[in-house]
Amino acid sequence: METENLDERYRDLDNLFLRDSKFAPELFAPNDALKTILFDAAKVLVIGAGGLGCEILKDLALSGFRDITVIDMDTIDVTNLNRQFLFRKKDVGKHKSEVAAAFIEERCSGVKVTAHTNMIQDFDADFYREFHVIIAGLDNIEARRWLNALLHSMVEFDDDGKPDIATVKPLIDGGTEGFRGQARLIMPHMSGCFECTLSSLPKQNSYPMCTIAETPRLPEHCIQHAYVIQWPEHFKDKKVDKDSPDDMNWIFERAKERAESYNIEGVTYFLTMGVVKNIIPAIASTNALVSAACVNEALKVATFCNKSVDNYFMFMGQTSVYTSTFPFEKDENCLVCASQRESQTVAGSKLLKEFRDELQEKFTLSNPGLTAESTNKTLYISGPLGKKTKQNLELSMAQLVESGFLDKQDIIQVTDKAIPTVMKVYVKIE
Amino acid sequence: MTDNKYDRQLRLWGADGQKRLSEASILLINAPAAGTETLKNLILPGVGFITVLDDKLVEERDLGTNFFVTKDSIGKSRAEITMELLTELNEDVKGAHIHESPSKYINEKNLEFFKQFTLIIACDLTDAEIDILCDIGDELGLGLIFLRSYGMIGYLRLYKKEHACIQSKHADKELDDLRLAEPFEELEKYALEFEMSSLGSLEHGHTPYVIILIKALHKWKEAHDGKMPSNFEEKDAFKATIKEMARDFSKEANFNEAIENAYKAFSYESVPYEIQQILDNPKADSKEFHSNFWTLVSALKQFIAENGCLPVSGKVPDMTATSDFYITLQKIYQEKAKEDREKIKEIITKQADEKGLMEMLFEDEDIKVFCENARNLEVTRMENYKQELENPNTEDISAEFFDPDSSVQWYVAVRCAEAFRTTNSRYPGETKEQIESDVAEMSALVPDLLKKLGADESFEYNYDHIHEIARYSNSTLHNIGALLGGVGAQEAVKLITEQYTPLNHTYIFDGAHCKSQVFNP
Ligand SMILES: [Zn+2]
Repeated sequence: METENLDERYRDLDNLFLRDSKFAPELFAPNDALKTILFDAAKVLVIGAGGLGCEILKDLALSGFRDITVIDMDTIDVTNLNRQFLFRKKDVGKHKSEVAAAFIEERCSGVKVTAHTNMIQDFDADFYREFHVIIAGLDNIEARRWLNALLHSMVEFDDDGKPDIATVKPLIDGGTEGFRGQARLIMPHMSGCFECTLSSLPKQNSYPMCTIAETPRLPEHCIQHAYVIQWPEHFKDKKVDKDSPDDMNWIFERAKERAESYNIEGVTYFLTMGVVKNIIPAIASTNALVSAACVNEALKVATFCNKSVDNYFMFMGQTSVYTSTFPFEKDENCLVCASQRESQTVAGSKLLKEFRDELQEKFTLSNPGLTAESTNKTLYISGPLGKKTKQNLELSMAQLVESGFLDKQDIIQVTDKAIPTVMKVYVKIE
Repeated sequence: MTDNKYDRQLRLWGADGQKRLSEASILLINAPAAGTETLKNLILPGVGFITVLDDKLVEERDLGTNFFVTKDSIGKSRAEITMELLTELNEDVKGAHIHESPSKYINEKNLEFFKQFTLIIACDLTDAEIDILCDIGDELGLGLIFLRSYGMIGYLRLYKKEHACIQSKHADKELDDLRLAEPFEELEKYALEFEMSSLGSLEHGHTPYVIILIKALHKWKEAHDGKMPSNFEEKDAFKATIKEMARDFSKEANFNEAIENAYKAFSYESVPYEIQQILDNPKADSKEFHSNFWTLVSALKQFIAENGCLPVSGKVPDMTATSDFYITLQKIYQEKAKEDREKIKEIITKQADEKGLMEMLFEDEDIKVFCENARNLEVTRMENYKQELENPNTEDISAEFFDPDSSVQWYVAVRCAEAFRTTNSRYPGETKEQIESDVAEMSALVPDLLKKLGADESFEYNYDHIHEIARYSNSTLHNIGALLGGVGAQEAVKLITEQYTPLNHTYIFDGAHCKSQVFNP
């Protein structure tokens, strides 16, 4: 292989690395070695090879990162092509991560991109520990929650309870919707985390069931009726395949019939797709700017050439441009990052079922299992293993204390598939 | 259907915006990362035609910052290589390149050349070149986007003398136009004749809030000399009358909605102030043809003179209602909207006759979109670049000097760096040895500039910014280019589609702190 003239190629980084700055962290000292660290040692992981991922990979390769790994299990769809610029029509159906990695390696000689087509949940802490920085460009909340919690669980603390910085993996997270987006830096157990901000995320559009069933007024109501009521009635055990034109057409036709019977106008196939797939508008430009902000932070985290963002950058481009940068503080009661939470008082008369439902609602969990830390007894888990625990749900918290399942002041360990670690809820039964 | 690769963006700017995009022709002057990234973000969504004008040859250094060059292309025309690798992204887009000096076209003020484009994006130009292009833009009515970067600092300057926008699509503005305070005849008749007392409980709890509010307001006005509730106490008292109309307020969502939406009646203006300003523009009365927009505004003005209000939009938001009640109500609004559209159409035809224009310029759909948005029309006027340098508008920027965290510090640094470039024909701090004296030269410019910008005397400029911009010098970082490319393409889409509100007029991204801000001096 011919030698690369890296010094000349990345000459634009010289001023950053070799010159003094009043805006760099105290740790920074101008040094030629920074380039070597970046070129030869820095390992970065990119999660998602979609709209943000393609941009992030390109930005990393052009920032001097030369050892990049990307994970994405998705394959390429034709509607990706308006922004996911590493893919062409001929690539439709292939794995995003593989096509993206090959493109970057081809265009940017000497840059190594390793592609994985697994789910992120297929990898363990040892895998994630390999990287110096992790950048997530995902559009789904579940994966981001999972990753956020895993990275938090990897942090070790010193005797004073301070996080050992060597075990803190910086997570840079980007997201977009239409002309809006955000980039943020999460330093596990040091800054606010993804879980802390979960409640501030916009809720999905939903329509009340009674409107859908009894008083439809909008085309969307008719589409929802066809999707959530008529489909299960007609097909019993078959789920809707949202990528199947046959299935989508069936829903469209039923929605149209229902709309006609109520004189409602405006049911179209385009709208049907939008409602059923809950499509979020996405454009190249927003992905580009959010990814650029993310990778710029990666460059700073890896080299200290300037201070890192503190810690949340929000961009709104719909009406003029409005942006805001602010520290997203830790939520004192966050299940993932709060170190010492105050005990919550729980009425003794409350049924375990009610207690669990509240947790599920509050922390958006899917099917939480509960264990008392003091007694190490399982209060409830689902599935065949938990058959016996099902009856506990009907017991009150006071009854659980009496029968020795739980202490009056206890920590309830919560497990749920949304989060890869054990979350702790401090309770005081009254 | 599903095979439309533009699906995700059509949900934002629709078929009309897409058509405008596909007909646009973009010129890029100079092709560093900021420029090629902006083009990339316009080519992907399907802009019609691009032209790259650049006289540089691809260097090794480009490989480290620009994605649209390859190792094999070193020594070849940067215009040609970037154009080829860019257009390869989308088969719908055609491109051309010109391997010539941009300064030549600019300094010659070659109008014949520039008039073939819809929009110009230009990178790293000097103040003098920007000044000339602004003049060209004025003459041709072109939109211009100037991009510059200094290491971690990105600078974007937008210029279009006047930009009209029909679909501003403010996130906080609804298209609904319910005329609660001044219901038109058919609506008032329907609402007042709507018999609620005989309704069953389901229908009573599903009577649209529009009907409830019109009834309640009618009653209120009868008892108050025809006046609307105006102060806080009256508004509260009015809301109490709505509560009384309910059978079980805690269960009837429609009555709750009536109270929540009462502000729509209180704040209603038959012609909002911003719209009146547009109507007052001489172009709205002109006998000459200016643009489709002003032709429509001119018709709107006539409509208001004849009808005393804006055309009804016909948009009815969802509300608690039975299907029948809602659809009936929606029909009433839509019928009125249609009637108003027909009137506008007649006025346009009549005015076109008077102006001697032969053809009808508008499709019915254009008039529909215009009428639906008549309450949200926008005209943006931007400060000319020469004006900004010589006699800046201090109205907004002067307040920035009271905020220690404002990015105005960088605005000042950028202006000093460019003034330095004008004097020395090079960037400050190109070599390490130059830094100290270059910083001194730039720093000497700060006090006068601050005065010009209306900074309070108590303001103490942080000269670390000057030092930092000399540190960065002429470094081009890909991330900063990519960020400018994202913001630049968003703004380009706004200018081309005439949807959404463009920024006015300077955007600075501070990559050292990941902060950004818009300024309009
Ligand atoms: Zn947290």
